[in-house]
Amino acid sequence: MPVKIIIRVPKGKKVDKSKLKVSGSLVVGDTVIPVTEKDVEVVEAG
Amino acid sequence: MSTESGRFVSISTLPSLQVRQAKVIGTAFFDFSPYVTEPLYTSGITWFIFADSIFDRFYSTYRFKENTLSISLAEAEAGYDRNYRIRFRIGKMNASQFKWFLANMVYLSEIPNDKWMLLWHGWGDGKVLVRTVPGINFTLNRGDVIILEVKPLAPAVNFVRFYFITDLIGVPRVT
Repeated sequence: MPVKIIIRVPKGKKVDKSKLKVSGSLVVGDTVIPVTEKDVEVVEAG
Repeated sequence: MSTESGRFVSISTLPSLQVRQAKVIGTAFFDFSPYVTEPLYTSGITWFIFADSIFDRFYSTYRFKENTLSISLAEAEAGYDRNYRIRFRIGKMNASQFKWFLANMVYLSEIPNDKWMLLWHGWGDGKVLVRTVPGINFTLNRGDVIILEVKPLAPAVNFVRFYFITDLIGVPRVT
């Protein structure tokens, strides 16, 4: 996985990852790598 | 090298360093609002991590030997589609620092300065553009990661876009 996105949300905040909408891409030279929800990890503040 | 007979003898040397313009353009749009709303926004934070495999792309795309890369110029931009204020930092971690980060990220309001090599930082409204100071280089070793830390200083809605353009200095592969 060339890119990983971590979103840290406030403590006690219910995390429903299905509500997360992510789109984008990573371009290295001529290579285009899509950035999708699977690249995102949502963690709750400790 | 000149010889007595006047002929020239070429001496094989190690491949010289080469500079390649590497363009890593990343865009990521996502809606932060289901998670972070006023007054809770201060504990919302986002990290974009460029992991080891991005460097494999560098090596293969720009045909460098797989050892280290020196970066002499980089730019990145992050922001909202609205005029909200953010703080934006970029740093480099080695493998052990990154391991520590993964174990402790839920407790961090920001990455401590002694846990990474802070490369650039800035803040602004709407978007932040940061770039390296000319002449300042840093080296990426295998296992290092680059992290972009984006911290909202206001409620965050509809995040973010960034790009990362860099000059790479590496040793080209001999073909």
